[in-house]
Amino acid sequence: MPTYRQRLKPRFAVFGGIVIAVLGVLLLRLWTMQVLSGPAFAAQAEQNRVREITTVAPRGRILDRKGRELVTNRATLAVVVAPSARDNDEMLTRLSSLLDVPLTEIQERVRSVKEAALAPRVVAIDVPLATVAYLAEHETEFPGVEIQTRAIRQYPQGRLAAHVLGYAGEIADSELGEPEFEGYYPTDVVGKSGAEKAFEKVLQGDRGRQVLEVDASGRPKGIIAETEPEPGRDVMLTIDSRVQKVAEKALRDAIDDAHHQGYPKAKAGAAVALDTRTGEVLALASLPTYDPAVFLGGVSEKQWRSLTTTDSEFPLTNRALMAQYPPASTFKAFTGLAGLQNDVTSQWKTYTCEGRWTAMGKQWAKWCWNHYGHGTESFMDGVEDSCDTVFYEIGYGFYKRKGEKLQKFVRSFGYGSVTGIELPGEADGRVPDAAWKKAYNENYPEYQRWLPGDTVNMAIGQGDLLATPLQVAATYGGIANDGRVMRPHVLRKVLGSDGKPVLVQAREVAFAPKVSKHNVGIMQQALENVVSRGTGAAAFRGFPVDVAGKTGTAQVAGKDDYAWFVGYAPANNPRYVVAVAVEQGGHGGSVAAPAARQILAALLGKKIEHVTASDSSR
Amino acid sequence: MTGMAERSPLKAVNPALMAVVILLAAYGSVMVRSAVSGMDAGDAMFRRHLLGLVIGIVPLAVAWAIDYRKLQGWVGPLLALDAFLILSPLIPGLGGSAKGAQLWLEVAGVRLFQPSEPAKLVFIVVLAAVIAGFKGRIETPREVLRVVGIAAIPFVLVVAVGDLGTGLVFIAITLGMLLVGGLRARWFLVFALVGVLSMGVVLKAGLLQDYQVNRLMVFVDPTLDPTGAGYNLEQSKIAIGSGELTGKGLGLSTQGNLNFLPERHTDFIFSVLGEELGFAGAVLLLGLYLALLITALEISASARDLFGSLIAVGIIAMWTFQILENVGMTIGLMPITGIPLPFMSFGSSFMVTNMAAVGMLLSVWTRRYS
Repeated sequence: MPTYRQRLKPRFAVFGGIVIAVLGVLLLRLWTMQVLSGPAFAAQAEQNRVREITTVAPRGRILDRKGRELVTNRATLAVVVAPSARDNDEMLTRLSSLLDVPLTEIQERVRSVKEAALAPRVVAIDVPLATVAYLAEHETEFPGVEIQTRAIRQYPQGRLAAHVLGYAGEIADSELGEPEFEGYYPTDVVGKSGAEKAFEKVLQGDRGRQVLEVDASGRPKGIIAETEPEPGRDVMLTIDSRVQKVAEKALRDAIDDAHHQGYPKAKAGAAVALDTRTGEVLALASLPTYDPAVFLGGVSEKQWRSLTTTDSEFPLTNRALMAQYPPASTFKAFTGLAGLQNDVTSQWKTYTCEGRWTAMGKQWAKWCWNHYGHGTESFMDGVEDSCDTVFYEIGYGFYKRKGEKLQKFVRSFGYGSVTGIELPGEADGRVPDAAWKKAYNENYPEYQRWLPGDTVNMAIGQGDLLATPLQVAATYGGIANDGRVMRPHVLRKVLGSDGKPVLVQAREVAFAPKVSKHNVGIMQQALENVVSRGTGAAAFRGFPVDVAGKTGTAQVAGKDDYAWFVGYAPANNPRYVVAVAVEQGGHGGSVAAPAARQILAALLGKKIEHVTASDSSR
Repeated sequence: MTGMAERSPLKAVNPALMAVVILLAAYGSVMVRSAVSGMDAGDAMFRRHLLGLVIGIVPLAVAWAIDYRKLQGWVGPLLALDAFLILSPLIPGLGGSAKGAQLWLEVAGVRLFQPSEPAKLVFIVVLAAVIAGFKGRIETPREVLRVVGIAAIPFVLVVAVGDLGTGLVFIAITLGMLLVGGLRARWFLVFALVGVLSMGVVLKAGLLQDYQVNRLMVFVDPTLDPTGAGYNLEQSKIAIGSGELTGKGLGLSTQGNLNFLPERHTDFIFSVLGEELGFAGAVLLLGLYLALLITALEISASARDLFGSLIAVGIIAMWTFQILENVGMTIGLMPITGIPLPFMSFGSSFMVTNMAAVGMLLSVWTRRYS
C-alpha cells in the first residue's frame, strides 16, 4: 500500500462525513417540512386547488294582492369579459365602440376588484342580436369576451307603483360591511328602495355553490361539490294594481285640474288608499315618478343626475310617506276630537264667526278663511264649513288650559311619529310644543317662547305642524275605525316555491288613542256632513256611496297653497280611506277631492268619473 | 490490464453498486412516469426517458471497458476536449438555447444533447490526473495555482457560456478532489475568502443574467416575487410539505398534476416525489443515495492508485452536490438553479452521463488489484 493512502485516510473520513452530513441536512429539513409543518402545507395545497364559484339565485317576484306580476325577472343577453382580458386595452377599445359603452366604463367594470377573481364581468346588457352575432363570428378578435344569459329585473306594468316597488341594484361597498348584509357577495343585487329594500331578506335567494378543482392557471378541472341556488321568495303586496292605476291617473288629473284653476306650479303630489280595518295599503302614488327600469345594469351618471336635481322635483322621493306638509284643515277633525274629549268644546256649543277673530287681543287678530264671517256656528257647523274661528277658539281654549293636552291627544293618534309602514324612509311629521320650539330656535332666544298663537295656528293644521299624506290617511282610518289606527302595511303574503303562503301579514293596531266612541261618532257625523253638504260636497255630488271626509288648503311660506282631501267610505260602514295631497295645487275641494272621488270609486267598484268642482274654502 | 475483468468476472462487478443504480433508475422511472402522466406528450416523454436508460448502458460499458489508468497521460487533449464540449453549442448551426443560454446541441431544431453533461466527467478525469500527480501533497502556492489554473479553464468557459449550474458542479468537484487529494487545510480558508469576495464582485458587476439574480434574491426572500421567480419555490415547498408522512399516493399529486409545479419532470421531480410519496418516499430516496455514495466511497478507497481514487471522489462530489442543490432548492435550502437530480430527473443527456459515471466507477473497481 502506498504511503499516501495512510496519510489521506482522515481526509476520506472527512469527505465521507461531508457526504453523510449533506444527506442528513436534507433529511432534517424534510422532516420539519413534511412531518412537523405537513398539515399547514397540505392546507395551502388544498387552497391552491380548490375554488368556490357561486351562482346567483333568482330574486323573488313582487305581485299585487291578486297575484298580478309587478316585478319579475327576465333573461337578457349580457356581454361579459373575463378578468384575464383586463389589460387588453386595444381589444376593450374595439369592444367599447361595438357596444357603444364608454371605454372608461368598460375598464372600470372589468377591473373591478369587487368581483370574485375568476368571475367574468358584465359590461353590457340587452345587447342587440346583431352585436351578439358579430361577437360570435369574430370570437378570436375578442379574447375573453363572451355572451351570457343573465337574469335581470323586469317591470311588466312599467312605472306602475314605482315608489312602492322601489328599485334594486348592485350592493354598495358601504353596505357590504354592515351586519344586515352579512354573507352577501360584492356583486349581489339588493333592494335599494321601496318593497325591494323592505323585503330584501325574503326576495334574496341563496346563492348556489360550486366547489371546483382548478389548475395553476385557474382552469376548472372538475367539480368537487355542488349545491343548487335557492331562489328568493315571491312577495305578494296589498297593492291592488287596478286601484293603483286609477290612483296614479287621478293624481295626474288633479295636477291638470290645478293648472286649469290657476295653479301652474302644481307638479307634485301623493295619494294613499288604505283599508281602514286592516291598514292594508291598496294604492300608493307619488308624482312625479320614474321608470325603475333605468336602474337595470347600473344607472348612468347622466340618468342619475336627471333623477336627483332640484328641477326634476326629485321623482325618487315617495311623497306619500316622505313628504311633510301642513295638514291644514284636515287636522280640524283631530283638534275637534281633542276638544270634545277634553271638554274644551261640545257638539252643540256655538261660536260666532265675524271673519276677524280678536280673542287674543286686537294686535293679535286672525282671519277666518271666510273674511265675511260664518255668523253663528255650532261645533258641527264649524267642521262642516271648516270655519277657522271655531277652531281658533278651541285652540285658544287648549292654550288656556295649559298642559299641552292638544299635542298629547293628536300624538296618541299617531301624529308626530311614523306609522310603521315597511317601506323605508318614512318621515315622522311634527307636532310642535313648547319644548320643541325652544330647542328649534336654540340660537334665537326671542322666538323660543310658546305663544297662544302657536296653539291656535296648530288647531287649524298650520303653524309648525307637519304630517305625511300616509299619516293623514292612517289617522282618518282611525276615526273611521272607531278610534283604532291600524298600522299601514304593503306586505300581504310571502309565497313559498309552491306558491303557497309561508307568511301572512296580520293586521296590527298602530295607535289606540284614549277617545270615547261617542266623541268619535260625533266626528264621523260631522265629516259625513262635510261631504254631503259642506266643503267636500261639490266633488262628491252624485257619488253613489256616502263618504265622510275633510278638505284642506295648506298655506306654505313662499309657495302656492297645497290642496288636501282625506275621506273614507262607506260613511256608515267604513272600508277604505283615501288621502290626496297636491303641492301648490290650490284648493282641496276642487283639486284633491275629485281625485279622491276617482280612487274611492275604484275601491268600491263604482263608476270612475273625473268631475270638476269649484271650491274656494280651506 | 483489461483482461482482468474477463478472467474473473465475479470480482469485476460490484453488485452493491449495480443494485443501487438499478433501484434508483427504477425509482426514477416510476416518478418520471407519474410526473409526465398528465402532460400532452407524456407517453412519448416517458419512452424517451426509458430510451435514455437503455442507451446509457453503452457509455457505461465503454467507460467500464476502458482502462482509466491510460487516461492519466492525456491531460492536455482531454482538457481540449472538455473546452470543445463546453463551447460546442456556440458553433453556428448546432446550438439551441434554453433560458437565455446556449446549452444544447441541435440539428434541424431537434435537441440532441447537452454537452455540458459529459464535460463534467471529462473535467473529473483531467483534474484527477493533475491532482494525483502531486501524490497527496498540495502545499505550495505554485502547486495550488497549477491545480486551480487547470480547473479554472473549463469553469470560466462554462460560466461564460451561461451555464452557472454546471460551473457550481465544477467547483464542488474541485473542492472534493482537493480535499481528498491532499490540499493543506489553510488553503480552504483562502478559497472561502476568495469565494465570498468574488461573489460580491459578480453581483456588483452585474455579470449574472437577470433570471439568475432573481433566483438568488428569491432564495433569500421568497415572498419578494410570489408569482414569478418565488412562485416556483413556494409551490415546490407546498408540494413537498403537503406530502406529509406518507404522501398523497403515486400519481395523485395536486400540486404536480394541476401544474402548480413548474418543470415537474425535470428539475422539480423531487417535489412530485415528496408530494406523492411523502417523507417515507424521500427517506427511501435519500437512503438509496446514501448507499450509492457509500459504495462509491468504498470503490474510491479500494482503488489501486490515487488517480482512480480521485476519479471516484470527483463523481461522488458531483452527485452529492447535485443532490444537495436539487433537493435543497425544492425545499428552500439552496437557490434555484437548473441542476437535475441524478437518476431521477427526466433528461437523456443527464442519464447517459450518470450511467457513464457508473461505468467509470466500475472501471476503477474492476482494476483495483491489477
